[in-house]
Amino acid sequence: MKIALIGNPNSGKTSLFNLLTGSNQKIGNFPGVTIDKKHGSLNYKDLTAEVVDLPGIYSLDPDTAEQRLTKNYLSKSNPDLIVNIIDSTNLSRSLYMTLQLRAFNLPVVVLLNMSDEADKKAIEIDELKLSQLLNMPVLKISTLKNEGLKALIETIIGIRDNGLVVTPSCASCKGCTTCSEASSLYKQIDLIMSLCVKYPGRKQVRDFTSAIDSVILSKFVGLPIFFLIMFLVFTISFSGPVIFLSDSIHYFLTHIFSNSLQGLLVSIHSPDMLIALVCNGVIPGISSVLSFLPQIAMLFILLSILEDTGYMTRAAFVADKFLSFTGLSGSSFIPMVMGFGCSVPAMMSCRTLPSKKDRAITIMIIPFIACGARFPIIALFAGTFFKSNQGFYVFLMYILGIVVSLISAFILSRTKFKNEESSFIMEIPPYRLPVFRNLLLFTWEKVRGFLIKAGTTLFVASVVIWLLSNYTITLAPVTNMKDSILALISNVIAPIFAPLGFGTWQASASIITGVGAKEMIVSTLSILYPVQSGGIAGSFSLASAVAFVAFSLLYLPCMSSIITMKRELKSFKLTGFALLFSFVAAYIVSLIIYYVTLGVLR
Amino acid sequence: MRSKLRTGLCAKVNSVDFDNLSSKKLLNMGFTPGTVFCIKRIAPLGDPIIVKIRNYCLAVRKKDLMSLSYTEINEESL
Repeated sequence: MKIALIGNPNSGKTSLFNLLTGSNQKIGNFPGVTIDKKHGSLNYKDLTAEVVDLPGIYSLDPDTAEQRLTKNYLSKSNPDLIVNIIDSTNLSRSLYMTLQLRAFNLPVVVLLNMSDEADKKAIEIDELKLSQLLNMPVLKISTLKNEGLKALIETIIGIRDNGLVVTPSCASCKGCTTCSEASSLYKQIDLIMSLCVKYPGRKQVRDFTSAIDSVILSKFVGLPIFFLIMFLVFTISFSGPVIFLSDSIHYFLTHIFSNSLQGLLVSIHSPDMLIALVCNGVIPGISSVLSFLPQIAMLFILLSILEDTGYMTRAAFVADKFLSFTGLSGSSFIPMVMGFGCSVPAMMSCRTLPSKKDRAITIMIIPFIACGARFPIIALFAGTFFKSNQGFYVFLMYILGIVVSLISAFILSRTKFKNEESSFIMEIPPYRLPVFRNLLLFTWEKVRGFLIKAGTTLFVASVVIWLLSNYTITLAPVTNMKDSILALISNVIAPIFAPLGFGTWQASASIITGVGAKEMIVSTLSILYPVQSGGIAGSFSLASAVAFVAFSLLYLPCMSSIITMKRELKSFKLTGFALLFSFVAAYIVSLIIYYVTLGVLR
Repeated sequence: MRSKLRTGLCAKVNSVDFDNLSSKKLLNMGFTPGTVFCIKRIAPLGDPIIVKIRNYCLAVRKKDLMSLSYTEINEESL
C-alpha cells in the first residue's frame, strides 16, 4: 500500500511522518526538511505501507517547482491513499488544497492536526459534518501530544480492506474551469466553514503569539533581537565546549587511534607503504573533517529550533527590507542561513522561493557563505597567525562571505536578471514549542550526510592525494614531495596565484583538491606541510595567509555543490556562469585583501 | 478609497489582477473578492507588513498588497 502525505508548510506534516515511520526513513543523499521526496515504511500489526512525504505547499497550481512536482506525483504514481494533514487553527486556508485534491479522484483522508491548540483557542470544528461535506473521512489528531494516531491507522486499514468510494467532485464540463478557480473554491470553503466551524467571540482568548510578536517584531526591539539571535546561533555553535569536543575527536583520531592502528599494522608486518598511506594519508585527511562534526550538529540543532518555533519566518520578515536592496526578498534569508551549515541543502531549499530570479540568484550566492566545511580552513589559519584574537578573525571571515554574497546578489539582480520581478509573501505561523524528537531526527539526517561524505568521497580523495603527493610521474616513491605528480600539476597553475601572494605548489595543490571537498584544503595542507616540520606557519606570510583564506572561502564551490547547483538551476550555461563568476569574484577580493594587508603591515 | 497602509487598517478585497504573479499567489492564499483583511504589524524597517486574513497571519510587501483592489472598512463593523 502506498500512502502520500500532503499538507501546507507548518501543518505538522514532518512530525506526522516521523511518528508514522519512526526510524524507517529513506532519504536521498542530500536531505533537507520536506524538500526531498522522503519515504519511509509504516508497520503496524499486519499493515505494511510505504509513506511518501511530499513537499509542504499551499496550492497544487503549477506555479512553483515543488507544486509541479507534487501535482505530477499525485497524477502519475497512483498512490493508494492521500493523507492530507491540516492545521485546525487555520482551517479556511488549508481546505483550499484539500478541495484541489478532489480533482485527482483518489481516496483522501483529512487529518485535523493541532486539535489541542484549536481546543485551547476555543475553535469548535464539527468533524462529522465536515466529513459529509467534503465526502472524505476526517479525523482529529495532535502530532504534538501523540493523539489520534491509532484512529488514523485503523482508518487506513479499513480503507485497505474495504476501499473508499470516490465520487468525482467535478464533472469537468468542456471549456469550464469553475471547479478549479480559486474564488469558486474559496466560496465553497466559506460555506463549509459557516456550517462546521464555530469561532469564539473576539478577544476572549489570549493570543500568546500576538503578545510575543508585539515585542519581538516591534519597531525598536525587532532589529536588535534579530541580530542578537543570529549572533547567539554562531557563538553557541563555535563556543568553548563544542570546540573542546571537536579538538578531542581530532586528538583521539590523529594520536590515539592512529598510533594504535600503526602498532597493529606493524605487528602484523604490513608493508611500509600501506602504513604510511593509512597513517599519513587517510587518517589526517578524514579526521580533519570528522573533528568539526560537533559544530555542524550544534548549528543544525539551533537552526531547526529557530525553524520549529516559528522565529525563522519572522527573521525573514525582518530581513526582507534589508535584502530587498540587493534585489532579493526575505524568503532568501532562510536558504542563506542554512548555507552556514552546508551549501547543498541550502541550494535545495531554494525550490520554495517564489520567483525564478530569487531562486537563481540565491543559488548562485549561497557558495560565498562560509559553510561548515570551510570553518576548519579559517580555524587553522586563525590558530596559526592570529593567536591572540582568533574569535574576531573568524567572525571577520564569516562577515566577508556575507558581504561578498550580498554584493554579488546586487550585481546579478541588476545585470543578468534585471528584467525579473521579485515579491515576498510568507505565512507567519504561531509560536510553537519545538519537538525534541524532530530536532534530533533532523540533525541526525545532516550529520549522517557528513559521515557518508567522510567515509566515501573524502576517503577516496585522501588516498588519491597521498598517492599523487608520494609518487613521481614514473611511479617511483618520492624522497622529496616536490618531485611528486601533485607538485608537477600544481606547479603549472601556481603562477596564477602568485599575484595573490601564495604562488607555491602546495597552496595550489590544496586549491585543486578543495574543489573535491572544501575540507580537503586543510587535509592537503596537513599532508604537504606536516606538523613535525612546522606546519603552515613558515610557509605563508601574514598577508598571503589572509589572502589564501579569503580565496579558498570564495572560489569554486565543492563538487557536491556544483552538482546540486546544476540540478537546481537546470542549465549548464547558468551553472558555468555561476562558477566563472565565483572564481573571478574570489580572485578580485583576495587580490584586494592581499594588498590592503600588505599596506597595513607596512 | 485607498489610504496609507497603517497598523489596524482593515479592508475588503474587491478584485484581483490575474496578470500579476504575486496577486495570483495572494489569491491562492485566500485573498478572494469579498474577504476582509487587517494590518496587524509593520516590520521594523517599514516594509513588509503582517496582515491577518482568514484567521491566520501572512507577511506581504506593501507593493504586493497594492496589486489588489480593496476598500477600507471600519474595524468596528467586523
